[in-house]
Amino acid sequence: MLKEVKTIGVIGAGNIGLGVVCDLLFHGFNVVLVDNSEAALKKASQEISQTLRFAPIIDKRLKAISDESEIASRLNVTSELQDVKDCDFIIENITEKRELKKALYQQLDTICRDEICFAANTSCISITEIGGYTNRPTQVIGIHFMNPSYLKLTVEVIQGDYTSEDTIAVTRTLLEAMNKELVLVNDLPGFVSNRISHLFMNEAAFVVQDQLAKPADVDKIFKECFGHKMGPLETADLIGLDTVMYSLEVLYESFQDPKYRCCPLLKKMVAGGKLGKKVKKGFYEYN
Amino acid sequence: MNITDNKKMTEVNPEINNQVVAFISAHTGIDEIDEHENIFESGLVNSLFAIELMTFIEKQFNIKVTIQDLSLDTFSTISKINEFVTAKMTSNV
Repeated sequence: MLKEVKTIGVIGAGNIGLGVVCDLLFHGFNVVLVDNSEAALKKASQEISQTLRFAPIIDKRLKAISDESEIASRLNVTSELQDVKDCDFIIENITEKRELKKALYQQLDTICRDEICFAANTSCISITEIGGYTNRPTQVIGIHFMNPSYLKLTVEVIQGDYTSEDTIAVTRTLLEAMNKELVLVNDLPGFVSNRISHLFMNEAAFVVQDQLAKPADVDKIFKECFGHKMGPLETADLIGLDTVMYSLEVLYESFQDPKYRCCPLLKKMVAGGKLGKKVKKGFYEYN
Repeated sequence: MNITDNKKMTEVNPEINNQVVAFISAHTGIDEIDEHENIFESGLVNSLFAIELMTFIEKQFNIKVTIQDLSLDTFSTISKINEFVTAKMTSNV
């Protein structure tokens, strides 16, 4: 069993990955961030720097990191997957596509030391299935970090059919060092959070498609009547409409239940490049 | 209102207000924002927006937001943002 986790390999520099990187840096870990897109890495460096400086305004428990040399010494941003070879733990946040994840995990399996655990920060794909992409299924676990990770004190952790108690213990230690409480659940596609939340987001898209209400009004009802911090459509925009669509596709494929069929409006928006906040247009437009 | 407050109000740079309002409006889709409205407490934006707002302010007005400046109250209204930016720009001169 791994004794000490100091350096974490984070794969995928999308929205969720960047939040996780900042969270880890705020809590004293070193990070190797890998993405195969140079553009994503350039954007990542800027956003990480801004978040490390400014996030404490939102949560006073976080201590600002404004020293560029400290950031440079603790964060390695790279397009080379091989650079995670000395990492003590891996957190994967890549696109919700089975073929991409399978190829990645097979490479990680050969790059990382035998005792290293892999945490899939996947949206919906079964952790047991991901474990099957590797030769170390007992060391694969799901950690469903929410966005932005550094503001969340609770995290859904998914135990695959073969995930060992040691892997759960390492994960618990890591998350406790990040000041998080974990809720351990069993493994079925979408787990608890996304299996429910994606139905909300998908149905909200149907409501807009049916011209029952405008996006702002749908969200207003959820925020002001139900007391949610964010409405389903602004949440979908934040996650990325492509990610939401891919997750719905995984849920649909997995359960073969029509309640998970993706709303045609959502598909059309993704096809038209309206991917949400990350491209400044989705259900809302952003500056 | 004392004389100091009066003086502050006469020194408000409307161009700063316009640029900040334009940025917030583009994010929210709401054009009319009272300069004394607390944008966080009113629900116009959530606290996460503060990071984008501070990044915008630094770039737009060529000033530096330091760790000592990290108070949500400083950026909570258009009027307070204007005061902050004006003070920073003045101290840069």
